[in-house]
Amino acid sequence: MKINQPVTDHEIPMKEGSILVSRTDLKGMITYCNRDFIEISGFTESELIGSSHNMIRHPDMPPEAFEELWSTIKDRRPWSGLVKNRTRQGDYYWVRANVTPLFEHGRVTGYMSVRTQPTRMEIEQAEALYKDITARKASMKPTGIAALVSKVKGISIRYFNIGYGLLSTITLLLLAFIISLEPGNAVIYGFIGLMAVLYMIGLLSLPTMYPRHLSTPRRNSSRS
Amino acid sequence: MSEIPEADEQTSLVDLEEFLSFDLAGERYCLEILHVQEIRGWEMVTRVPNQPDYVLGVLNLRGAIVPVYDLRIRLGMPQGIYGKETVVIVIHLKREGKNKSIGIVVDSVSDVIEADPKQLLATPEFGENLDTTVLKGIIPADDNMVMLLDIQQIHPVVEGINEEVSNETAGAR
Repeated sequence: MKINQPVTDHEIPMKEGSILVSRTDLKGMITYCNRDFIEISGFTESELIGSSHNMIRHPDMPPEAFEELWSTIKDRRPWSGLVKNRTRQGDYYWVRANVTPLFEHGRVTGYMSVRTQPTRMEIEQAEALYKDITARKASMKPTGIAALVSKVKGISIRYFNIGYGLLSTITLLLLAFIISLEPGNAVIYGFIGLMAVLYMIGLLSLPTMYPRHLSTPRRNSSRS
Repeated sequence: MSEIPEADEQTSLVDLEEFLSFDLAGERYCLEILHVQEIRGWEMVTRVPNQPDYVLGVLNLRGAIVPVYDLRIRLGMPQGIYGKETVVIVIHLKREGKNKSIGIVVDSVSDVIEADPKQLLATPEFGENLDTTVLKGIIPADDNMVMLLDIQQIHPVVEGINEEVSNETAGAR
């Protein structure tokens, strides 16, 4: 994901009654922007046209919000929600974005976003929700052995889980085989105990690897 | 030197207005984009008794009660099939000094167009069968024409429930 920096704490309020309009192609490249949008964005028209729409993305926005946006409009449905945008100078402005696919004879030709001024209350709710999503995501990062392994080997958590399951099963089967060969050997029992402890530690770190499904920002903001 | 291109830019932009165009039974209509409040997917509305057939019901838009109209029926066309691509355009308008929001159901959104309002052509009279009061005029755009909706005429003010609805909407905004 593209992270636009730097950012400031300075909010640019949307002008009363102004409406920001932009249109993109199917890949999200800007093909049209209106004057109000150009003005608040701080970019020039020629900088915006042909650029990816994520150039105005603010780093405070959780990527999940945009994932939901894109999956909705790719499913040919409109999406409405609060978005914090970044100006060229790094300032921010909140909008209610209404993003909709554009149809020409039943075929989607691009997407359009019509942005209006949200109320202060809507902004506060969205701000809290997005902060919450970002914080929860941080807490869902893997811990313990899983984090260590994934960090060291750079493998994804899912493969770690599969690998972990396979490895522990094989080890247990192997131990069972050894015991059947030489029952009553204290060294082997000690080794089994050690393996069991390691296995338990691994198990304890498992729940952190399965994040709970996030409640989507759109549903939350429209319910409120 | 630098003043000249600026002046050019000003004159080329100042006269243009933006319109949101949408499809309705294969024809293209539009409305002033400044009136657009929200664009939403179709969802079930709460029916309200004793209303004309083009009044579908009301929608709860974050606490504001918004009446929703079927634009096809309003324009004298048969009702379309509502699917996931069906869109409700929520527009805000001023009526008797009050802010009011209404929703209109359209088939799909097609584009944003810039046009000079001076180029607006008058809607021809088609005879008494066609209600053309809902149209403000026709905008010539590229190779075809787009009919400009007169949003004030979608649902003329009548007494009773609609007044209540408009008051509630105005209060919530």
